[in-house]
Amino acid sequence: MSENLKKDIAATDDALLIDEFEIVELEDRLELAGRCNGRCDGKVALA
Amino acid sequence: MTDQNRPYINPLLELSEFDSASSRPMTLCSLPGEDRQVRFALPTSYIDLVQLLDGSRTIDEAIDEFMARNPESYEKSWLQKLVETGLIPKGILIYPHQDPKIAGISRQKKRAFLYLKLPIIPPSIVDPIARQMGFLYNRFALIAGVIMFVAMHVYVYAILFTQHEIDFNQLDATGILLLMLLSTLGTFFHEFGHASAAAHFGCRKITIGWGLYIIYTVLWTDVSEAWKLPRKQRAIVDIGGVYFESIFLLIMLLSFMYTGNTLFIFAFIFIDLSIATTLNPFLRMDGYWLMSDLFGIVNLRSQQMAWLNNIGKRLFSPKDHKEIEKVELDNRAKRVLIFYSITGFLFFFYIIYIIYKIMILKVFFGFPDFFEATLLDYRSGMSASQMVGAFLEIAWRVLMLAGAGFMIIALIRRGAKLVGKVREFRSPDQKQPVAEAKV
Repeated sequence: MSENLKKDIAATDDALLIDEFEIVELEDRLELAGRCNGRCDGKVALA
Repeated sequence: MTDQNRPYINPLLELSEFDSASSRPMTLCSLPGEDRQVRFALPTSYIDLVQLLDGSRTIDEAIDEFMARNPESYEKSWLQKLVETGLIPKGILIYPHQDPKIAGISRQKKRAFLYLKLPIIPPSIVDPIARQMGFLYNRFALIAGVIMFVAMHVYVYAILFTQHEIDFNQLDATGILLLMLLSTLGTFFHEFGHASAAAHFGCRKITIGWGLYIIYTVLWTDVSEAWKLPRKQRAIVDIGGVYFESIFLLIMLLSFMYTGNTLFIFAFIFIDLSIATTLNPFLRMDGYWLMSDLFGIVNLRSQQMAWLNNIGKRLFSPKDHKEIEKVELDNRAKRVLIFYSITGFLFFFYIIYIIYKIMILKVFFGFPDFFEATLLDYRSGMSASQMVGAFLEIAWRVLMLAGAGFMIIALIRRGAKLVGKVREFRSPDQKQPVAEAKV
C-alpha cells in the first residue's frame, strides 16, 4: 500500500469514524437546541 | 513468549446488544478513554475472538481456536489484521503495560461538531433533577403530553390569532430582553427533557452545556449513554426536548390567559420556531438523532459522507476505486440514506447561501454601521435594559460571525483535501490493492 493511500485512508477514518472491519466509533450524542430569541435567520435578513 | 503476543480483553470493557439497521448483529463496546467514555459498535461475530483473548492465549492460538469454532467465517490473515490494526489500537484489547482506565482511543474531536463547547451544568446536578422528572415519561403522561401539544397549538393558531392582533413591533427593549430570557428558559426545559428521558431509561453522567454550532448559539445535553438503549427508547430521548419545551409552551399560554400580556404569546411563537429548527434532520439537532434512531443508521452524517465519497471515487477513479468502508445496512435504511444524502447535499448549499446572504452581506458589512449607531445611542443616553440589549446584540453578532468564519475555514481545508484526493486517484502510480475479502 502506498504511503499516500495510507494517509488517504487514515484521513477518511478520522472523518467517518468507521474502519475497514466495520467497527464504528459512535458519535458523542449531543442533543442541541438553538435559541431563537426573536433573532432567527429571517429576522436578521430583514434587519 | 513476550507480552506482545498475548493482548487481552480490556477488563473495563462493557458489552451490550446494539440496536441498529446493520445487516448483521452488532455489539456495543463501551470503555474508558483519556477524557471520556469511548463507544464502538462492532459485528457481534468478533466478540467470540475478543473473549478468547483472555491473556492465556497468544493471538495465533486464539485465532486458531476461533477458526475451529467458526470454520467458515474469516481468513486467518484477515483475523490477524483485525486484532492488530482494529481491536488493539482502539483499546478493546490491551497489553499488560497499558492502563485500562485510559485505554479507549477516540478519533473524534473533543468538541465534536461544535466550534465552541462549554459544560455548564455537571452530571452531579443534572442526574438527580432528571431522575425526579422521569415520571413524565410513563405511558399516560406521554399520551396526555401529545394531546396537550395538539390542543394548545390549535387554540393559539386557529382561535387566539383570529381574536388578537399580534404585532411584533409592540416589543420594546425591555420586552425583547424578557423574550430572550423566556426563550433561554424554554431551552433549559428542552435540555432537561432529553436528560429526563435518558435518566428514566437508566442513563447517567448527563451534562448540559453551551456551544456554537455553525452560526447558532446552542445549549446541548450529552446523552451518549443512550447508545446502550433500544432504538425506540433512543427516539424518545430525542423527542424528549420538544416534549418538555411544550410543557413550557403551556406555561406561556396559561400566563397569557391569566395576565393578558402579549409578551407570553410572542414567547410561544418564538419557542415554536426553535422547535421547528430543532426538528430539521440536516442540522445536528433533535431531527438528526431522531432520523438516525428511527431508521437505525448510526453516525448518519458519516454514512452520508462515505456514500458521497464513494460516488466521487467512482467518478474520478472508475477502474480501480476502493470503496470507503461503511456499515452494511438493510434495504430500507439504504433507501433512507440515499434520500437523506441527496437532500442533505442540497441543504448544504442552502446553508452556504444563508451564510453568504446573511452573515457576509448583512452582518459582516453592516457591523461598522451597527456599531456606530449603538455607540451614538450610548452617548445620547441609554436605559439599563437598552444597554444590556445592545451588549447582547453585539455578542450575538460576534458569535455568529465567528461561527461563519470557522465554517469557511473548515470548508477551505476540506476543499484542499478533496483536491488532493482527486489528484491522488488520478495519479497512475496509485494502484490500489485488492481488499482481503471475507471467505
